[in-house]
Amino acid sequence: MTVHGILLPEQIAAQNIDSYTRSAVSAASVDNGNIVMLTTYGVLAANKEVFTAVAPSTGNGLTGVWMVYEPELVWTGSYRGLDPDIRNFYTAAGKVFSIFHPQLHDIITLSTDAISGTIGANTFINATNTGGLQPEWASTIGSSVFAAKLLATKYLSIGTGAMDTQRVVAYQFEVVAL
Amino acid sequence: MAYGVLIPKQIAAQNVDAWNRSAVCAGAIENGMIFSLLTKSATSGESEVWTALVPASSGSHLTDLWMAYDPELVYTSSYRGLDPDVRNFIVPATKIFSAFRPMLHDILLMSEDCFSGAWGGATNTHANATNSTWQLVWGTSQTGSVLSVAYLATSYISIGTGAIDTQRLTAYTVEVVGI
Repeated sequence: MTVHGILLPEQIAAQNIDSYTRSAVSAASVDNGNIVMLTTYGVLAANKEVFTAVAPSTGNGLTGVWMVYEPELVWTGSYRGLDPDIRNFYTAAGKVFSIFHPQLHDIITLSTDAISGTIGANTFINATNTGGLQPEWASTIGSSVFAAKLLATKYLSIGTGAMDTQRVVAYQFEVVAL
Repeated sequence: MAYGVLIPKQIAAQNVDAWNRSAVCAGAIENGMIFSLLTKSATSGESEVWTALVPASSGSHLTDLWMAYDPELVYTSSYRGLDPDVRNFIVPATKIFSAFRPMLHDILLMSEDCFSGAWGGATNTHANATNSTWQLVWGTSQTGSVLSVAYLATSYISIGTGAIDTQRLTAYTVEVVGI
């Protein structure tokens, strides 16, 4: 079973500034921590204030990204909230989800599964043409792309519904380029 | 004459006090008008009030602009609030009004009277600050290094006129893309 990314927005400007939050919909399923570019506005007939989200790319742009952050109520068939393991959470294609606009100096923590590639000796994540919806590990900050600098390796303690607890490897970042 | 009607749908200034100021202008000001605030008023009693100046190319004053947004209590001679039609709202010259600083990704709903010229169709994808113009000016592209908004959608603002019927104003949803 696919393990999905987990995002912990530790200190983000969007927590205080409403205009840095929006609603979006995507033709592909998205995980929390995915980065997206916004294209058209008012795409849904029933909800005119939803933007269309696509993966960052050279064509769609690699700057000015938005980040997916939706409450982790796992879908089980048509039901939500039955599964307590947030590693199983993602937003299905065509469902409306919440996004925020990362700002310089925001501090976020992403689980390993929210990042493309492997950490190795890398200390940055960048929006890339090859990472799809995920930021990608890199040794340096990219040129004119969204980027975040590694601050620390840490863990996210999550509940699975079992008697024991689980620790997920995660990385703390500071946003250094928009 | 109908004046501009502005609805700030999502603006950072709603959460950040520093991006709000009081201003005064030598001319009348409509909501949605843009201006620079370079100096404070020299008038006694207005020590915390800034002087609004028309955007100008000289001195690079087409950036760092502010936008008027004052409660729409229409002036009828010396009285306010007698006329419910917000299209008649304008701030007379030398009256103090509220201004906010548009920031990137702010979303605004502005009536067509807020803009200089007609939208004219989908070819006009942006509206930009222009030399010696108090209003945003429609254009086919974003002008570099000026306050600029991108067209998102055509919409309406429903307003009351005091009559039995209601009125719908054509308005445009725009996103701030250059400051």
